[in-house]
Amino acid sequence: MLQAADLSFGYTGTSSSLVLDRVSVTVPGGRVTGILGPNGSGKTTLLRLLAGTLRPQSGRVLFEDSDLRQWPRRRLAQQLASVPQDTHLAFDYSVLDVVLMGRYPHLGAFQVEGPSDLAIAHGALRATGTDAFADRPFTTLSGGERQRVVIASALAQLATAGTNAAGTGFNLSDLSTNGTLLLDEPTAALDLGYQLEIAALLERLNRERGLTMVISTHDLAFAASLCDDLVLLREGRVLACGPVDDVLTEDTIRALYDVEASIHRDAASGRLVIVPRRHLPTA
Amino acid sequence: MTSPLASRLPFVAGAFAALIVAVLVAPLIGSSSINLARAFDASVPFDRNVDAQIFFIARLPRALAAALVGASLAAAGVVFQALLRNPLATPYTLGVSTGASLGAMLAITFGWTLPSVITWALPPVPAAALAGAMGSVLIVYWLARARSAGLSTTVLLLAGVTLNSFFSALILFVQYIGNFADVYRAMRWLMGNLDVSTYRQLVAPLPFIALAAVAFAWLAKPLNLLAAGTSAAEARGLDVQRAQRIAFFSASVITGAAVSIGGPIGFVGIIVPHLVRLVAGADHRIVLPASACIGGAFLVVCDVIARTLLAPVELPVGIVTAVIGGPFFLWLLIRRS
Amino acid sequence: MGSARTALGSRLSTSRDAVVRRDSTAPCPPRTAHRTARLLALALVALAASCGGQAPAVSTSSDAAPARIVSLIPAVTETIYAVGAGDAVIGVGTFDTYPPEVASVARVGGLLDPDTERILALRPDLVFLYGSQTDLVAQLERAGIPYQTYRHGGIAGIVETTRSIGRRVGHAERGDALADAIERDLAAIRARVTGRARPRTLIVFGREEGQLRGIYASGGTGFIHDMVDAAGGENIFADVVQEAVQASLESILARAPEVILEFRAPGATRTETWAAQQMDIWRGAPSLPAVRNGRVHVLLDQRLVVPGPRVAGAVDLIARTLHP
Repeated sequence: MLQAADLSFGYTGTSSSLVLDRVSVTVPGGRVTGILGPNGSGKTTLLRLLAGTLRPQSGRVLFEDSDLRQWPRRRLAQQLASVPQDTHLAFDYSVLDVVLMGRYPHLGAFQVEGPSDLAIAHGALRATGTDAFADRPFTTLSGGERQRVVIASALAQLATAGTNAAGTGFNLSDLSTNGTLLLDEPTAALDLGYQLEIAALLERLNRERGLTMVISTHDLAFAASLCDDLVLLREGRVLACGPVDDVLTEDTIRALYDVEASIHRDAASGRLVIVPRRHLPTA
Repeated sequence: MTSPLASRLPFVAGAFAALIVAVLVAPLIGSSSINLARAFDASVPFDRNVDAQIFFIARLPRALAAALVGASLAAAGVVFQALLRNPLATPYTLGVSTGASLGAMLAITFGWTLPSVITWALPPVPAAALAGAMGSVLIVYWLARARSAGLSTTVLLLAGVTLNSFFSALILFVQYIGNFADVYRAMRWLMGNLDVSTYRQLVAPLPFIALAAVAFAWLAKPLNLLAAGTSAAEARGLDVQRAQRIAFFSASVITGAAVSIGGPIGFVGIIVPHLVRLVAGADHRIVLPASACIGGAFLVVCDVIARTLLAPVELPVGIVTAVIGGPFFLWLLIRRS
Repeated sequence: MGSARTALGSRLSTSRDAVVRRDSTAPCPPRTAHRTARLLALALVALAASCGGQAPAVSTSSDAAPARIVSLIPAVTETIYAVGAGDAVIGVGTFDTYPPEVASVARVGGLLDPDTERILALRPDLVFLYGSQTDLVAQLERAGIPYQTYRHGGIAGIVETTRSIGRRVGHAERGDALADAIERDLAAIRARVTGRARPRTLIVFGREEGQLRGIYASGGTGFIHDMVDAAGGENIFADVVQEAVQASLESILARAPEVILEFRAPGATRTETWAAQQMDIWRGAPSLPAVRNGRVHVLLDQRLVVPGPRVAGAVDLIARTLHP
């Protein structure tokens, strides 16, 4: 379980320019938590703090009841994986190379990947539908394909090798019990088709295995369809948090986006549908 | 299924074989013809055996020096490119070789002599070059840290480039106040020369090179992770600060050692990594050892050309690497776009 | 010759002091030019200066002997004093050290950095400069100052230059006498060594400190080659038509010199002790006949550096070393 207590963070270190101001978040295990907010609200920063790649100025982040700073890096990486918004590689790695890098936290300093690591990598590629690209250079893939490969790499990172020493293939039950996936705007740069693809993939991962996820997004519909719980973030402060149905109301949307919207439930899919009507600029 | 690493190992083996062949064959080639049988004839006293002397004093140390320097520069090039996430980075980008050159300039122009106990291991000019290189590394590191506790590669690059310019200006100044002869010799040193003539001169820089090589072995996986950016590397469990520090120091130290042996020989540190990545992919566990081997072989070949083309006059080896490397690099760039 | 030796001896001691002491009476104290490889300097200067390829240029001059002479070239300066026109010298180059009188004369720079302002300020009526100093030549022409350009050559060039300088500074008789004396002395030396075996000789005038690297040897042209040739030595690089050869160790080993001569200008670090140490360095190539027979000679002598009127003394020194 991932918890943030009273986090404050500012890039320049002065209190007047805080990106996050005393933010507390609890990520329940096995559920999808969304961090929703407009651009500049501090979503990416919060995600980085949760991942441990940034250190808060005050407050702390707990993973499995231990402060992130106490966790040995490699062990933490075996259970906590990040999918950034976009991935630029400085050199021409193949797709399989990228996914295998997810196995590094499981390897010793001079250890090389073994057959089980390879099986896990291929299984992760299959689970994300990118197995056919294994030998292609990562840079030749489209945006959606790349995101899926990075997700595959994160899955490989969270997989435990134990049950698969025979290399019989990887299935999602091999993911570590406390495996948590952090995704930063996973669909921001993608076409509608790919957005649906990624959403479907993530939903499957959560449903079939109970993979805990934290997803930051500014896409209302995406958040509404995928997330179980929501944290609404505006200007570095938590506006509201809780189950989606409770949190996503016309009032909160107005407070979050300065937008008047109406909310319905779609009969066919059972999902919340938000229809923005009017922009209400702040005075 | 075989891992991509395993499938590329033959390439490394091939590169290593190329290096061995180069080092074994190079002493057989030269501007004067020697009788090999006589060179290896142990019954002839060494000080009367011209063939043996040419082989073991004039040629073999050079081949070894070229292999060592070429391997060091190519490997350092790989590491710097990964550290700075820029395929155009060279071992000289951060000012190490300019520091070494300044040290050498001063030693040549002011004719420094050192106590014989030091000169046994390291004559004045290589010693000054090594000192200059290490000083430059420390200055760049200190400058890069002055801004913040962490090691930002952007600041590192700025610090290195700035130091490069500053030291280059100092070098010009030293040349200005020196007399014509010293300036001439200093400029020749800058063109590179591998005529070491003793094995002793390779011994002193060897610990630096060995230490850096060990660091490189450890760095291969971290460099792969860093290719996706520091955040992503951090999220995969890498201690990014430590890895960057190790990369910076080991690559700088090996460059300093290489430059102190043969002067600032160019192009090896940028062509070879590119070439190897083109052929063998980007995994540093392959690229690092393969680049080292091919860099060594390349420089051995260039040195053979340098000492035979205009014999008995020596051509500076840096000219040969530039003449071969420059057009090749242009071709690479054109091919890419 | 005896007087030349004493002059040399006294000059050697002054040169050591000159590095430390500054002469405050001179309007422009001499720059403490570093002299470690002065010979290489001048040999290479010769190479550079002779690249001009033009005949010595002379500007129109009056008939009276010049009374305010500036010379940027050490060899020319020596010659001017030797023909008796020393009183007329009012400016010398940075690297001039002989005769001792030049210590109190104003300095005006050298090949690479002539001080044009200072030269003009001295209001000379004759300037000797290198043929390759085209900028300075242009300046002098604009200022209407008579000049004579100079190119280093072999020994024949030294003799010819002595005569022409004598004429130019109004001491033609002494110039010719001096040139004749040089020729006579050289002939005597040649006669002495004729018939004796000519040892294969490597002539080194520059090398990296402490090691057998960056060896600069004399090729088959230039006054260094001429001097050794006149002294009865066979230059192993005589086939290379260059004044300076950066020789690889392999080529030296292959050519197996019987004698190694290292020419250096004496200086603060170039002492007799230093000279003795150089033999150890050459032991790194033990198959060389010169090393095996202990015939590595380090000659610290100003005359070896300057292709001037004392060349006969230099050749004599070399001859005595080659043929003891």
